[in-house]
Amino acid sequence: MTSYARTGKVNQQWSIIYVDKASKEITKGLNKRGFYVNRPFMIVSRMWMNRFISVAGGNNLVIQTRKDNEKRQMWRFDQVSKTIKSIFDDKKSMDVRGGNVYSYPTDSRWY
Amino acid sequence: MVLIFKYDNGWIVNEQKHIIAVQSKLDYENRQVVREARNTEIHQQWDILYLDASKGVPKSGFSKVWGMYINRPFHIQTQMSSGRFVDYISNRLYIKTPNKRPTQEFYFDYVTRTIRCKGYNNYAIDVRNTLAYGYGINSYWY
Repeated sequence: MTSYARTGKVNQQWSIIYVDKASKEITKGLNKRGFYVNRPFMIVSRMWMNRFISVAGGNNLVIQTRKDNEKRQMWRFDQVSKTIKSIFDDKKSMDVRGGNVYSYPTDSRWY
Repeated sequence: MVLIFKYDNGWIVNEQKHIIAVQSKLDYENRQVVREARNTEIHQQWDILYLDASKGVPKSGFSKVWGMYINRPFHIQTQMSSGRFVDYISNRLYIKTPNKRPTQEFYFDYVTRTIRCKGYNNYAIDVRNTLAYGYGINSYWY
C-alpha cells in the first residue's frame, strides 16, 4: 500500500464496514457472479459435441467427452477466494496465464 | 485479477474481460482451453451443469438432438426397391440382402456421437472423400 496524490480513481477509494453491520460471506445460493456457491458443477461447451472442461495432467485445461463421476471435470465456486476451484484438486483454481487457461494453486496474492 | 470469473449468460469472463474459449474453434478431444477477447461465436460459450441437477451420461432412450435411440440396435435400409441393408465388409460399406449377420446391425453410441457396428465394435461410420467407411474410433475426430 502506498500514498499518492488524490486522483479520484477507484484504487484510492475505500468503504468502511462496521463489524456489527458486516454481513457474513454466503456459503450457498446464487451469488452476484452467476454461480451457486460451493455447489459442484461441470462446464459444458456449447459446440457440437458438448464436451466438458477437464483437468489434463496436472494443470492443463482441455475439453473432453463427459465421463460419469470424473472429478477432473468437476468444479465449484469458492466464495472466499471468488475463484472457480477444481474438485479434483481443491488447492487449485481456474487461472489465465499467457494465452491459456490452467488449474493452478490458489494464491492469495492474486485474489 | 485473472482468476476471478463470473458467468455471464454463456460466457465465463474474468475481471480483465478475458473469456475462456476452445482453442482455434476446433471441437476435438483434448483441445486446449484458452483465453480470448469476447465475440459471439459458439466456441466461447458454455453451460454450467450442476451435478445435483444432472442425470449422467444417457445410456438409453431417444436423443432428440441426434434423432436416434441410444444403444438400440438398428439396420440401415435403402429406400430403393430392393430394400437391402447396409453391410460392413473390410472397412467399406455396401448394400446387401439382409443376412442377420452383426455386420448389418448398427447402434448409436452417445458418448462418441457415432454410429457403430455390432460386428466391428471398435469401428464407426466415417466419411472420407466421397466414400463411407468403417474406421476405428479415434477421439481426435469424434
